[in-house]
Amino acid sequence: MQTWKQFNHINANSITEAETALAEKGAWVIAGGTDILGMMRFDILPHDMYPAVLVNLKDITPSLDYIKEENGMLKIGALAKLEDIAHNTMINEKYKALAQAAHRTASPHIREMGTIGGNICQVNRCWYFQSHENRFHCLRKGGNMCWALPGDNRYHSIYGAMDGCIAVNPSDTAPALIALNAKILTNKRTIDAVDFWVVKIPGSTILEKGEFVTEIQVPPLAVGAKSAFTKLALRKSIDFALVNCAAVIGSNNYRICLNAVAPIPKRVTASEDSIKDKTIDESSAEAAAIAGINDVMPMAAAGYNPGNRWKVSAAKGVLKQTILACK
Amino acid sequence: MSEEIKKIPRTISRREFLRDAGIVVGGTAVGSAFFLSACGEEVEVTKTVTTTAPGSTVTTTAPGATSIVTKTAADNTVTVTKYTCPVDGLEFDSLEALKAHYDEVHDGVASESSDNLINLTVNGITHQLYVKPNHSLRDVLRNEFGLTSIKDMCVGHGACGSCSVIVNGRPILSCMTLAIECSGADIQTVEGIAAANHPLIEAYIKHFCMQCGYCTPGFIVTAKALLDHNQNPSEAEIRDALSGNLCRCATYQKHPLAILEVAGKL
Amino acid sequence: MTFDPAARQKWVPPADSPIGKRGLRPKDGHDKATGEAMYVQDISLPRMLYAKFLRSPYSQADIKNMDTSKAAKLPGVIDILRYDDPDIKDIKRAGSDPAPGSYTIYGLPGTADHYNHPMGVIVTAESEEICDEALRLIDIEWEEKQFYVEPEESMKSGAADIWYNTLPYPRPPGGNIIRDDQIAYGDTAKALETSYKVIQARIKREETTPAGVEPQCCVAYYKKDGYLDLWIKCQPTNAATEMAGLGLVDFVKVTTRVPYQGGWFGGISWLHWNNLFIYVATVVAKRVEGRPVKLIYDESNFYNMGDEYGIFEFKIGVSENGKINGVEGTMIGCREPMNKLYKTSNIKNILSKRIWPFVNRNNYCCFRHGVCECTAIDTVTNYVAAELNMDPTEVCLINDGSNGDDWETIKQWRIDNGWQNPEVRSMEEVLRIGKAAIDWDNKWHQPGTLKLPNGKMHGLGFTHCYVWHGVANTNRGAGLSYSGGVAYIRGQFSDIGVNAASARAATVAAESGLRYDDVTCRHFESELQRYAHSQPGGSLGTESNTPQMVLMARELKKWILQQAVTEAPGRPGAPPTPAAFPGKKVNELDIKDSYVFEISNPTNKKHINEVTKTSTYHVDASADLVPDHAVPYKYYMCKQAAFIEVEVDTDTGHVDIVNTAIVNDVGTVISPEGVEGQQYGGGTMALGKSLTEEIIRDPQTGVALNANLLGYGIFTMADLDKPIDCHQVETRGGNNAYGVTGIGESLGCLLAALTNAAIYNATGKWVNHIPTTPVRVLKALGKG
Repeated sequence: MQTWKQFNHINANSITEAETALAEKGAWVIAGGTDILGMMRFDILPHDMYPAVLVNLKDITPSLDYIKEENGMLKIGALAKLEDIAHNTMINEKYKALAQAAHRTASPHIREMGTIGGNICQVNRCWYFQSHENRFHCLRKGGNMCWALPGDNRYHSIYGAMDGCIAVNPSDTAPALIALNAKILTNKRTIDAVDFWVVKIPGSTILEKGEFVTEIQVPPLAVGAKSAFTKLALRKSIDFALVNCAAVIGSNNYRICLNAVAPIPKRVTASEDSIKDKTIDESSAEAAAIAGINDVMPMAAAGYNPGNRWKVSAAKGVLKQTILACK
Repeated sequence: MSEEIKKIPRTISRREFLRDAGIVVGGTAVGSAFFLSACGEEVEVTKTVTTTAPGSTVTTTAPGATSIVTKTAADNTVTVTKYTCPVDGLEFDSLEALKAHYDEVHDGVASESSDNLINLTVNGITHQLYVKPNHSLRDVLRNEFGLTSIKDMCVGHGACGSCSVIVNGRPILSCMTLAIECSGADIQTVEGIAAANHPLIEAYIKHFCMQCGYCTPGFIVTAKALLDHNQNPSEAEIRDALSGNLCRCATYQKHPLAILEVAGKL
Repeated sequence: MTFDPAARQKWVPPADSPIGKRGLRPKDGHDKATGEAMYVQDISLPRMLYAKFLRSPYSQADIKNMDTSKAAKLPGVIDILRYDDPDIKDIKRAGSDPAPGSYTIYGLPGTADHYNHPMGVIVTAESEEICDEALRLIDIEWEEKQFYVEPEESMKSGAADIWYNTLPYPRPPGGNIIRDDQIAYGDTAKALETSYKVIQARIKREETTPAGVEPQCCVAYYKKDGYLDLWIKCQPTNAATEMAGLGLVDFVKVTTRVPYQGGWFGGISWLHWNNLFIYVATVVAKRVEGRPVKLIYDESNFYNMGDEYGIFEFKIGVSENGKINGVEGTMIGCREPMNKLYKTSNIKNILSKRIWPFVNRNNYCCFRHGVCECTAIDTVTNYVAAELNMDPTEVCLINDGSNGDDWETIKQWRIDNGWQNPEVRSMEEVLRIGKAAIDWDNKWHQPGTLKLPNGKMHGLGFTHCYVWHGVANTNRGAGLSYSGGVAYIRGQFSDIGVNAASARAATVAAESGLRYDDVTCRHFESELQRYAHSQPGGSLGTESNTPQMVLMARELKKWILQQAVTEAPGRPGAPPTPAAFPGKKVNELDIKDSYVFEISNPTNKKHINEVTKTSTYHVDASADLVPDHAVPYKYYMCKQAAFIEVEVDTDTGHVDIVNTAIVNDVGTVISPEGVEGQQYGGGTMALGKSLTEEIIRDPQTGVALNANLLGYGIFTMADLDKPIDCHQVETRGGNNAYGVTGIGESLGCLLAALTNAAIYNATGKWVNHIPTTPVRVLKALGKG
């Protein structure tokens, strides 16, 4: 198989050491490795963006892979494995959407390697961005055009472009964290989940150079509130989402978030307003789902490009299923 | 005149190298690509002290590496450090000048990464070996240990599970794992599982769980990891655990039979 | 050893024998379960070099200039082979005509005609890493050219000429058309004119690939004395023969080894490209004479073998009762689509047309020609049912037959020709069993009429065909050697996972009387390919190889029995060794479970070792004894059917396959687990092609956007809700030994469009665009 171009590697033993190492030019964080190593193997970034050094966070002590409850708050270290989150009893009982999101991510092996920090920081999966050897030098890599706009955009944003880009955010845990009103702690600051994702070159988050996620904090749900997560994908394992959705509903908690529909996760306040104070049933869920897709701007079909109007219906279906699951 | 030859063995880490050399591990020096390229290589530092008069200079150079400052025994010796570019051998008077040159001429990217010593316990036996950062665990296990059961189906996209091995109890993708991050790990492959006569082997044969056989090691490894954690899995749990292993021959519906038999439920 | 081909059909498998017996240990099981099985990827020899191709970033481009000097200077680079080097520039393989149709392809051309085309240059170096690095250092000036990836674009009048490869046969004039031809049976135009109704249907298939699992590679070791060792990944093992014909090697100096093969399913284009790959590896090996070379092409499984994308149009002339009078079927693509419908039905008038335009997709023709043809049968059957408001299984039975003749005619012919079970009608049996398995009679309903409590629409899908048989190449040999109580089947074939070794061993054991465990199959090597089995098993292998196994095993048995009654001469000066059964005649004895026994007194038995002692025996069933099957079969009467039950989410377009039943009449079952493996294995692969698998190309550049196992969705264990319910029927209706057919390829094709029919039954809407992904389902429902 394709070998990696050479790079250097540091096993950081402390957060300070990691920070110092990351300040260097061409230094990137490596957590689980499943995102960055694929990106490097196939040389999808321009030559001058190829990581010169990988700074491994997994050897930091004390370890950042904890899952615990402290003062009623769920605290997950950034290096916690997705599989551990998926099967954690407490998370399944009290923060179900997050457990379900983690469980539906990728494959069991990737969940045994991949971390929640990595999952929320992963780059986008637009097939033009991901082309081998930077075949399409697009906006997200410092180029000057988006190839998906005139190309095949069936899986791209139904909410138009952000900074010219119509790639979607692919993370499964991201909408769950937004629905759960989580906070993301880095070595520098604390960020509300809803503010975490942006469109960058080539990244997907507001993290600055030398900054990395250290912990995720999730406040407890109100008594009586339920949470759920739904994912639509081509296959029932391995695949990234075509559309996914997380919701927290009940006891004055209404937070519903779609992802894989726009360059950043999309909170659908119209659905929240619609379901607010209603009994969840087939008809209220249907109405709330329809309300949630009221502001879409899907891509039109053109030539052999089927466009993505289909995804609007799919988003409505996924919204409805997620709302019903919060019954 | 005294001569002192200090050999720095291959095994030394970047940190140790710099510490012995007496260079303060400062902020900007740490992580610089060209420092790292020096570390771990066999670096022979030959220093010749010619005079000890004030103002005289001693130059120490290391082939292919930056120079290091060495303290001499004499009191009034002045030493001057030269910084040698590991790529083209040009010398500079300051670290900053060398870095500027490296960034400008060699694009600032590591030209040669270094060997690192790691320990791996593989199927019960602990080994020490040298790896480079860009060696996957899969390549190391196949090329250094001859464990050819570890396959490549998706050419490194992390999508097939045929390179699965157990690392510290977890079934992971060895093609997406850097060997250099595995020091101290306990690794199991299907060769070890078979050598230990694990009942999964016989169950897989009995239930015709293989056709072309290319995915089979990955499945058995994953199944073993499941049974190690859960001696009594349900069929749904089995299918979930194995949903990351691709089989193009589509033997899928046979695997739960084999695993349930081993779990004593058939 | 001679025989009457027609007599083969009448052979009956010995009773109470390994044939048809469950629970026999697979011969390859240990190697594969323990990780000991070696594949070409795993072969590693001292001082072995690695060689890798450049791959084109363009869909159609010429290399105008190539500077390899920096690559050549890289330490560890041993050889650089440019496309214009005399060693390689004329290395090509001509396609074959007429059956699947394929065109000539070059081993290392200077022009790329599809994205990721391996071309231009091959670097040979000390390691893969150095190969990769060297390839990055090669500077190329490309001239990009017009390309088309859509067949309709390539066919348009005025389209640029994008194809200039040669064909071994005359090329139709004008444009990019490779073939424009047809096969006609009867008078279809008249049949359509005089029909009660003419039903029109159109369906499109997207490009799929076999996505076989072991990346293509070949190890070639050309030694200084001209001897060549090869380790190949290829279904037919005859590359050495071909290369000798081209003057590339001296045939007697080549040793070909065929290790285990990873996911190497049959298919015509695979054979074409894979043999060429071996030629290229040999050329490279000759250049670095004295060191083995492993030539690797990482993403071969997505780029050098394609599948049957195309556009199909049908005009079906029917009577009111569902009888199909004539069908005109056209494929814009690589295959005439109607031949299998002709073979499996009583329809006398069929016009099967092909217009095959060249496009800048993978070098291939069709991987499985059957996918096109099963798509045709599926569409025709279900459209007729839909338009006439009939049950599709009824439509199937009304039109059941073979080669234009109906069941009554066929039945009489079978009686007249001494067929086994001549009055058993395969399609009836298959339908009866399949419908019961899926509970068809209770569950089938009018289209779009059943909404489930979970909000999804329920649907059933059905399709049918015959089980492939009758194209067997029985002209490849095999040998059987016996020594020390063990029989060794000698013959080289590519173990692609169809359990051939076990099936062959079962046959030899059954006919010779040896225990199954005392028969072994050695297939990795063969002397000068004397015994190169044409098919390893699978679709046609059982049919084509069983005769040899039977004949050789019977000869072995005769020999053992002869040994039992014959006094063996002693060494000079020593007395002779008495016979194990002195005074008995051969016809008084038999063999069972590796014991020779007296038929009238079975307790009088001796183990074969005692009988044969140190004697050995060899028998040959090679080409001159087993004539090539050149006689077309009269009828194809062993049938198959598949049924699926689906739930369609009309919001998301997602289709859940909740139940699948597959029924195959394989004539005679030799290995039940082997047959089953092909049923659920091929069935799953075909469902993947129907539901999730396609290669998507960027319209602006032709670049394949998802050509890897992450983006191309082959089914995981999670994708079928329930195991496939497999049923085997044995009518002994095949045309060969034991009335056996084959199995394998037919399943990989049969269900390849089946979700289309099932979704129609669920929603009342035809998707008609395969695979039926959510994008397309929602479009069909007016939501996309």
